[in-house]
Amino acid sequence: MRFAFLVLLVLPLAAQNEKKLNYDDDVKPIFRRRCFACHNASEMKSGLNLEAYAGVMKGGGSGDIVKPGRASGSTLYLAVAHEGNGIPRMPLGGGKIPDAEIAMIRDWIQSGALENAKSVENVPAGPSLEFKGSNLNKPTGPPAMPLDLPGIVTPPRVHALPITALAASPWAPLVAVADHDSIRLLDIEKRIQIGALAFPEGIPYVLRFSRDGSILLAGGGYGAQSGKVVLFDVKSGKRTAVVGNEMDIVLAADITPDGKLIALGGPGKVVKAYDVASGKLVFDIKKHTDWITALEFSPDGERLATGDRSGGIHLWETRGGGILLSLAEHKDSITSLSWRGDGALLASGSEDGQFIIWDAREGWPMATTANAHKPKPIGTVYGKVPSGVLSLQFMSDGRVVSVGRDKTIRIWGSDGKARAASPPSDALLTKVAASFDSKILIAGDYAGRVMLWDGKQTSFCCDSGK
Amino acid sequence: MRGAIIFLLAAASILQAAKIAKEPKPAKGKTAVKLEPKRPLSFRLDVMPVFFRAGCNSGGCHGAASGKDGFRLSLFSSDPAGDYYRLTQQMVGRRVDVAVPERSLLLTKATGKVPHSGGRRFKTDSVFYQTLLKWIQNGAPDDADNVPVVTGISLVPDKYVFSGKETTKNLHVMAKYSDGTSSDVSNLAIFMTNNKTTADVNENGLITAGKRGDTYVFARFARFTMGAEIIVLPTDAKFKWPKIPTNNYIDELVDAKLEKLRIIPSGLAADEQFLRRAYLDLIGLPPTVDEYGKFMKNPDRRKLVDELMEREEFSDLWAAKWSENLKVVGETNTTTNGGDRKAANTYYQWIREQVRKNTPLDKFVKIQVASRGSNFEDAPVNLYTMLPSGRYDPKAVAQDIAQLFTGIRIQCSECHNHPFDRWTMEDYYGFVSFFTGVKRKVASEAREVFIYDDPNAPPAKHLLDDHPVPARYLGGDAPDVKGKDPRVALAEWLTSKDNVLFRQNMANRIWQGFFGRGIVEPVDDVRISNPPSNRELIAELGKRLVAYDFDMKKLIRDICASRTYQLSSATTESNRDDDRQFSHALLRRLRADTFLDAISQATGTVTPFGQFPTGFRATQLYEGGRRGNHYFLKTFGLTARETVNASETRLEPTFAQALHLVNGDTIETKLARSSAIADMLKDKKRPEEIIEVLYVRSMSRKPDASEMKRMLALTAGHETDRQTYDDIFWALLNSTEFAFNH
Repeated sequence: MRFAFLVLLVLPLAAQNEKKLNYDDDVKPIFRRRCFACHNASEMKSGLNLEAYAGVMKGGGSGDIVKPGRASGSTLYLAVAHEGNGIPRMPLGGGKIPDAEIAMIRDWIQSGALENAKSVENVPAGPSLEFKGSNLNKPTGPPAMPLDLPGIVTPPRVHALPITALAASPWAPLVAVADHDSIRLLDIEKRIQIGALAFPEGIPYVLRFSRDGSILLAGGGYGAQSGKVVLFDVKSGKRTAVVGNEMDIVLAADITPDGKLIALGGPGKVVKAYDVASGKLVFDIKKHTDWITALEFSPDGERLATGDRSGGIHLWETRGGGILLSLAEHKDSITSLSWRGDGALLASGSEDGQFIIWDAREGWPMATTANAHKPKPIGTVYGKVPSGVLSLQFMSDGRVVSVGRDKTIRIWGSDGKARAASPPSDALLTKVAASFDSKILIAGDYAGRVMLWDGKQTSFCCDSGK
Repeated sequence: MRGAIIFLLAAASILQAAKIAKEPKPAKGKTAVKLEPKRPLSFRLDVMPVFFRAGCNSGGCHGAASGKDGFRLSLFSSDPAGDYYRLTQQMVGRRVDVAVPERSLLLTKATGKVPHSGGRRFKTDSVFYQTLLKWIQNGAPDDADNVPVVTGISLVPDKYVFSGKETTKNLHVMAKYSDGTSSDVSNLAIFMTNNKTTADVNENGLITAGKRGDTYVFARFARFTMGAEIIVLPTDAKFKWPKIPTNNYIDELVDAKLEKLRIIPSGLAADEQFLRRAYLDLIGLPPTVDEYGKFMKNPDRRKLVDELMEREEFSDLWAAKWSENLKVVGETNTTTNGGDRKAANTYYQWIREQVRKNTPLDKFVKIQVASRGSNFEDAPVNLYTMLPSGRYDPKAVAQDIAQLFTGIRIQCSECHNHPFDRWTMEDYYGFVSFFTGVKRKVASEAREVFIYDDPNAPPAKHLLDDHPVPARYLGGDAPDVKGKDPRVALAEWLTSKDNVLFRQNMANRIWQGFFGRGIVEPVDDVRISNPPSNRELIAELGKRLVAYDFDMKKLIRDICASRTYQLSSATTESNRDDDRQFSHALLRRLRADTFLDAISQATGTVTPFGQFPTGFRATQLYEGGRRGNHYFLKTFGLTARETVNASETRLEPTFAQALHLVNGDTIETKLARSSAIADMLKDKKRPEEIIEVLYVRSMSRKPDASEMKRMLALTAGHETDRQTYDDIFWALLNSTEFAFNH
């Protein structure tokens, strides 16, 4: 698989001998063909001169047109790609320039908008991609494993429910899997189902272990009826808290490392933060204009990332709920948000097929991978094939695991480069998680099965279910 | 539901007007065919029709482009694969819950168990619910590749006459599938009526007869629409068809329909009425006093029509009508966006010349559709500079050309299969592909452009999945146009004598010019759900037009010679409510340009039109008087020429029009400038003579005795006072009789 050409790197770490796009050799010829007629040194329509690199970087009457490293924030790209809201569509009155030329302009900006072949990149250096794992939130004693779970009764099922939620304990070989009105708990080392927790609230759409692995959070509900988040003590299986009283299901939820605050969201478009002890609403976030589909607290609990069904991502201060950054690159529903263990990077996956690694301090996309999970075409296929990323997670070793519409588990470096891929499954893989030691990847599928992949082979696990 | 036993009728009930049909029964001697489809429940064939019938995928609900409340279905089921994806794969576990099917949001929303903006669509004990539930219980599977498709539908009965006491009738819809099976889909079809007051239909297909008349009731299933003609006869009338003379085939066909409907046509219009009507319809002007006198001396109606068709004004009027539909505008002095003045004038002069030379309509259209060259040198190419009004968009041009020359509006099919007609998205993009190669190249003179075809241009792409759709005739074949200009083949097909769409549309447009409404009305909205009011008549007119080698004047001669055209506008008891079977002349307000020209001619004055030479009439303005921003023309609804819609020429009366006639300066100014009355006073004409002339000038008729008496009462004592005659003339020009062609 040649993923290298798909990956847009903005980092100095990238191979130095790789030839970078530059103004003189690559972009200027496009400008000459398409733009010089108006934006030349003498006419300077809208105050913009594209004939010289300095003119490009100076911008026009309405300010900068190029932000190195950020094509989607650059007026130049938005104007030629006809993507900007309220930005004139260039060339004015004519058709779009060829896609290949638009792509070249985008890639040029993305790779730093260099002047010539000798230029050194002027993109701000991001955080280090090096990551050796973190002991933040490590429990002091042995990690929690269920000891003795009570039996539960669940409604009869006609077919297995597709896996709607899945989580792996960050410190133990424990995996929680959503089922109708219940949560199955699996020991992936012994490959057995330990037991199940009752979730009469409905279908769990989000499962999460607390950062120390002692608490399991389950959020879900019944469509257009009710939504709740329930906390379970992992060892005893007992409920420790129930928060939220939503009118529709909970699609995204998380708990802070200190276990004091729960954030949740769903079709209501509002992110709500509840105090665990009192069950009271602490603050809400009304900035999203579509369903809340993903959210996660940073490992230190200071920040909260939230994503919606239109592709919007925002970063917030956990204390007070003030906004920090808006990350606008995705064009379709955010399916997953995941922080790296040190909180420096945030990964996002979306139905638009993009997988992006963000510099979480500055809000820059450090690596963007398009078509991350594009299925292999069968015969001649026209048009847009769903190629979305359905679920992803930063692993404890700093790599990222994801599943998507190609029915494949994929592993990526934190530079966004493809590292490994599982053989494609026969069913859609809906959710993914990595074991605490990053050795086993766990995927849930549309047929309700749990698939394990150790990097060599896949197997279905722990089917003692009903 | 699928398991229901279906009886196929060996013969559809064929009904005679006089016979009352009984409930259809299998014909004697033939066994009813029992059909029981063995195939499993199908998403496309069983589940999706529920969304259509229950209204889920309509434009105001989940069929909207952005869906509704976060959930989208394709409008009218145009995208089955997308719908399957959104239901089962988009929000896994939510909309469809295969584990506990009753919990599926699809079901709880549709039955109103949970809050739903669309309310309860059906109950849990309904067939619809059971179909959806069963499908989810089956695991919500997608269809296998070989699932049959619906190949057509039929209605039982396919026509029906209500007479006597019976007031309701059930309409059944039968669907045929590609695997040879059929089934009764009445409970999944959608029913519509074209005229509620004549025949209403409920959601279950029960027709209820209303007021006398004829209409169509339609059923829609899958992508098919079919209509059943419904005739409602008066219950009590002791009807007897009187002996009415016929002048030609038109009268025979119109009368046949009228007899069926028990409508007796009005009597023949008087010579004066006919004279004015023929003048206004043929040349867009009322007769002058001399012309009035000449005709009344020898009222030969056929001769009059022949003479009028040879007048220059005939070319003016019909060129104006074509120029309206072809969007000839001269707004700017640059060609890049169309509407260049020089090009518009070139185009107009060419159009007028074709009318004057009586170029056959097929040739007239063919040369434009296949045109290439300069907008200044090769006038017909301006079809491709005027229609686009702005950037050249092959879709917009394809839509306009289909509408102009076949009367079919294909634009609905851009985004979904036409809900009330047979056109699919495949048809639409196939037609667009004839125009994807048309290119415009600017010449050295900035206003001059060359239109040419790039035969290597790729065909149009289907909206749903971008697959290329090669050029294909509407409802016809795909010609081999590799390396060729596909428009040449299109022009041939379009104007071919076998093309029923073209010949009937051309005939209907001509007909409309003489009756104020088409046999299909509007003339440019031909669709299954808008059938002709007289199928046989429009078919025959189309055939005649072909037999005349598309000579428009020959067809006009037939129309004007018919008794139908010459009927009075005064109604009888039985035809009072008829406005679609041509049983009497309809009152038609004059077109804005004709109206203004009529006022000018009646008063013997000229109207100034900006840069046009003095003496030009409104009908002669190549760009329709748009640039002059003429208040009268605008107020009286002259078309803006922004669309090809025939209805753009507005004839509805408005309050502003009434106010303008009474208080505005058009009539007032013209009266002041007119020397008609002054001349007669100078010639010492008697009041009776003057009044008579004023009547002829405005109404094209002499006043009757009572009118004359009342007018003379006004002039008594003011026999030589111009003001009095001005007042009378003013009143005549402000009368409805003047404003209408009747």
